[in-house]
Amino acid sequence: MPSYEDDLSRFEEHNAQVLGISVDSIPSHDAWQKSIGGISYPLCSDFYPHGAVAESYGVLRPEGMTERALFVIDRDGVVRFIDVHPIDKQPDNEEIFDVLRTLRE
Amino acid sequence: MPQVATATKTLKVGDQAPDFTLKAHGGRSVTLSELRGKNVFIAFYPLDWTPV
Repeated sequence: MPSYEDDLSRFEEHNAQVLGISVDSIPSHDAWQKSIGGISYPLCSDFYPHGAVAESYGVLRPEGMTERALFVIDRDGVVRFIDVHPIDKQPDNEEIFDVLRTLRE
Repeated sequence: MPQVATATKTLKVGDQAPDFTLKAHGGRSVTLSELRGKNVFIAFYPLDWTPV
């Protein structure tokens, strides 16, 4: 998640809002983002009903946490890119910027 | 071109993204449909306090 913070100005160049989502609570998000140097884009809490948004996106795992999954949604609300990643691997941001370059800003 | 079009159990490329409203850190609230007119990049991640 810090790597998205580092690239935030590049996301803004593509008129893209970054959102992080996990099933953790708000107090957890608040404390964790502080501990890693601060995250300015919203870390959203899919805590209750537990994982309901993740479930609607098809990325809630049976053990209750979410997949490491990336979605790019265009300005009309249409899904343009889906990448469900091995949970222990960090995706390369360049792949996301390649997608954003194909969209209207 | 990037490799695209991995689907999930419920979504594929070209589908309308399910709307949601979630609380976010810093006392904020986020509603996806209020971001119409912007591109949105969503990163689901497993858990806070784990290496990311």
